[in-house]
Amino acid sequence: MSRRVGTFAKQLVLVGATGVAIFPVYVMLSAAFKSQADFLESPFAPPFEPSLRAFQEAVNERFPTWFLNSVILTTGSVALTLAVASLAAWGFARWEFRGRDTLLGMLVSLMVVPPVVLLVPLFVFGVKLGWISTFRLVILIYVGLMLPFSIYLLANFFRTIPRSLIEAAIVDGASSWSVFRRIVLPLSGAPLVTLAVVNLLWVWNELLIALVFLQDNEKKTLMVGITGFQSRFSLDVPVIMAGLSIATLPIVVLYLFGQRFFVRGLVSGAVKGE
Amino acid sequence: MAEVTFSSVGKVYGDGTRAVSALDLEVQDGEFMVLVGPSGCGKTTALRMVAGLEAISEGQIRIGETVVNDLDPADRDVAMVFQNYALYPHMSIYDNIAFGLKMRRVRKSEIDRRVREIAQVLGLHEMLERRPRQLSGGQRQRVAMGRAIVRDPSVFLMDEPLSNLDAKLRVQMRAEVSRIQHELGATTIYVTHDQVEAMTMGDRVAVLRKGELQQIDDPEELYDAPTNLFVGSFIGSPAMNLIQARLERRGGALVAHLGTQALELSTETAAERPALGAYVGRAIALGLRPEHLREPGAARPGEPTLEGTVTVSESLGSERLVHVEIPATPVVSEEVLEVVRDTDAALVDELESDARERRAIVLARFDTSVRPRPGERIAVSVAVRKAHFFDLDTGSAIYS
Repeated sequence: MSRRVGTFAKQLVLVGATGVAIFPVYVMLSAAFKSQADFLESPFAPPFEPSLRAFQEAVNERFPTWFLNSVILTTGSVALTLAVASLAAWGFARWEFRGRDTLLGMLVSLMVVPPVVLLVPLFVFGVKLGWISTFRLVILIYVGLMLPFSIYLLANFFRTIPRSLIEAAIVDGASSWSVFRRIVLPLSGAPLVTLAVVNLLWVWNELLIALVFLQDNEKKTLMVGITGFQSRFSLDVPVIMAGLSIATLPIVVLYLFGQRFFVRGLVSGAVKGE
Repeated sequence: MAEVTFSSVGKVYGDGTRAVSALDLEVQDGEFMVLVGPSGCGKTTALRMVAGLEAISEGQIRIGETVVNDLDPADRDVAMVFQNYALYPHMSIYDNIAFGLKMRRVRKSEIDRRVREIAQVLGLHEMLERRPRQLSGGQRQRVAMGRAIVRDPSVFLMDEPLSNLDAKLRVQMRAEVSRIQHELGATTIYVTHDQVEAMTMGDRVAVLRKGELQQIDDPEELYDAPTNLFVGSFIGSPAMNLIQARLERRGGALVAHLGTQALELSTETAAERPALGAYVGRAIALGLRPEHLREPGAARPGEPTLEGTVTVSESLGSERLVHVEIPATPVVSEEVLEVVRDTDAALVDELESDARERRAIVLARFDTSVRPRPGERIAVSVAVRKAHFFDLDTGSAIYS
């Protein structure tokens, strides 16, 4: 009897947590299909007379440019992060060199520095380089911010790859690069996909740096563009929600695709496996 | 193929730990050399130094005529089979076997020919497209062997390759590895801590302890003439019974006193080991293999007996192992304790307590028809001519 009560209580908590997580998504989607008047009258009711008006207004002539900009920034920064982080993490995980642990410790400690603290110095840096409103500057900043966690996660994973596998490849005649490319990387699919998903989510949704460093209208990202729907004198909530719904779609698809790896990547190294 | 020569090889790790000391060893061309010893004796380190996976701190290792101290593993022309097989889990069996050849840029058609040939020999031809996780332990072991063989290296290095297999499969694979090695005539260095594996597989066996070579001989010689207490107690399963004895001269004959009992050594025994004369009046370690302790009916005329109480009687089908408690002190030297500790650390306390209570449990091999019951008093006949004698202070065997 008490066990049944316990199970019921657990499920109640889970249902509650799921509700809390889903409710904002519901509000976003339902509002996107409403008129402004309907939304103001009953913000949480379902759309009784659904319309695509908000979507038509959200997808204005600049929308494709914003979308493309977001895609460029996201893929560029995430690809560069994965490339640099995997090489660096391999070095930290397997190479013996003086100060290795101290260096890794310092790198990990950078994870706690909030990006907002870096804004002013980075902006000055960008101005000096003449790179304000360029993708390369923003990509570099994103890469710099994503690297500490990425290196930390990958280094931890690489340490779980059995040493004998690496040694077998070395005795088989593989060079250092071949060991990395042919043995280490193929075995690291799960953490690499995990990292890609986590980083993509972050860059895609990132607003602060994109807003400050990409000042040209032509360089705006999707998130910055959607934020612009809201002004001091007008607030068309359904249009903003429609824009956000569209912006969320690629990330949801990506997450669904990578979910299998994502869960495996997060627990990798927790248990001894093959 | 080539010979491998260790000349005064030593290994000291960064933290000052010495793993191997002044190792001199010559592995002949085509020989199956087994390095055996308890955990931490330096056998794996020695093997890894040949592979190039550990730097050599002192001395020289040569493969053929080439000093390999400073060569990369890839340039040493060695292949290694690892304890956990170390198969690449993301590759098919075909690619696992082909990997070393690909790294050496062998032509694709040649790789294909050789991989298929080896797979046929090892019975893996029907599973070339599978992944390692889809294979049984024995099959994985064979893939690991195939990966080494396919490269046709000068030297094979094997690091406890059978230790992950279950007992039955291990016996089967033991024979298979030996067969393959003899067919290929490949110089092989095989590391194991299982002395049965060492005795059954090796052309010669090198016993190591604390990084030092104790004895190197063919298996029979190692068993029949161990050079010291360590080798005597390590080699043999069940292990040699080692009891403290005091040598006395009675009339013209030598007598070994074990507690309250005495074993008279035959004149032949005394003649074969003239050095024993110098130990009269001193304590020595007397070593008796279980097969040299037999049921009274099997005794040869004139063979002395030891009396004791049966504690355990185990039938193995073909023979019976009888544990007999005798009022004597077991040998508890550092060498013996090290071997016991390697088998089961808990037995060390037991042995030391037996020594304090002057109680030795000896193992005897009886015919299965003889069925002594626990608690029964029996007389065990002792083949004293086969006995081993060791200096208790130095641990050295007393032969000449």
